[in-house]
Amino acid sequence: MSLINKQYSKLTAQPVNWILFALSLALIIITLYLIFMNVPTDANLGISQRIFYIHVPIAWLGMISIVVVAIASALYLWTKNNKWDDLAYSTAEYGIIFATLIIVTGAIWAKPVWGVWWTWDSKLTTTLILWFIYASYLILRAYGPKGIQQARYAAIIALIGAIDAPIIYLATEWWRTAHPSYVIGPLEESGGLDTQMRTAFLVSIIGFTVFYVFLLSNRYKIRRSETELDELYQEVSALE
Amino acid sequence: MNKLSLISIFLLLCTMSFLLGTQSVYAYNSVEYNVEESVAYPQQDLEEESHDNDSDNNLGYVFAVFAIVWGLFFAFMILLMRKQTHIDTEISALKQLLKKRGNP
Repeated sequence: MSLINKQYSKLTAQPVNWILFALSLALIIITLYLIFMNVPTDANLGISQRIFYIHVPIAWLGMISIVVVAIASALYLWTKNNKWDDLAYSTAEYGIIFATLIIVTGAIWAKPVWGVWWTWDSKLTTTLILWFIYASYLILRAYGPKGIQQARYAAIIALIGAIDAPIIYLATEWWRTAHPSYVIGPLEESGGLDTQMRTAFLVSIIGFTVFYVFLLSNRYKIRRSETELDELYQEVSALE
Repeated sequence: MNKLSLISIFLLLCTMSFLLGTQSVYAYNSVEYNVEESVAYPQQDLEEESHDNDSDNNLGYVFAVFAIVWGLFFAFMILLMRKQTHIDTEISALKQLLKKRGNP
């Protein structure tokens, strides 16, 4: 309880953080209301279609994360500023969470719709590859050579890994796939989403994105504190 | 590797354990899935109340998704809070130590 109290007082001490937290909480509550009380049940997919409002925003964040990791890594390689490397590392941690959740929620949705938990479909397979990219990035950060060399190797993995994001997005366009096509966005097919469904989906996307920014800003601060801690340990050992 | 990565790996392994025993779903010729019907959600196909018995059976899947997603986020936030508190304590202790050694 004291842990929550301490964090709560820290949260309220930082106005931007507090606004992000309050906004994401409000949007998530509205999203949940829209998903369960407002949107109509899909005639073909039934109640399981409601998974869509959580599965797709998570997939969006999973793909955004690898792009952020790649951009931060490129900026690190260019500027040699550790802040960019810290941002890349923090984002990669969320990336693996989102990639895991894409696969898990997708598998749970696939069972009632396709009758199987998993199939080697192009979209699913490329998403699994994304998970392995994040895993290899984090494994390198944990067990690879320390210091600048590690950050450089990790940055290269991130840059190569980012190629997977557009491949995942365009998989339904490029290959024959059982995965549904685009129901929203520039590649949207005719028909698209019903108005109520579209509203719920957009609120969900915005809510999850704000929540993601809140989580990422906190993780980044912790990462900076970890770096500070390492430097303090080095100072202490230099004095001994 | 940190706890978060281990949790993710565990969850993924649980999911992937289904892989070997599952059958393939082929696009456009699947009996169980009709792509043409499912890519879009036109207004005329919607119903205010579901009359499909299968929908009720699928409620468990919906519950599982929401429970896993929010459970994982909640666990991760707790993990971060604990980490932050631990690091803050360690930083202040080290700063005090350095202060003492700097001013004997």
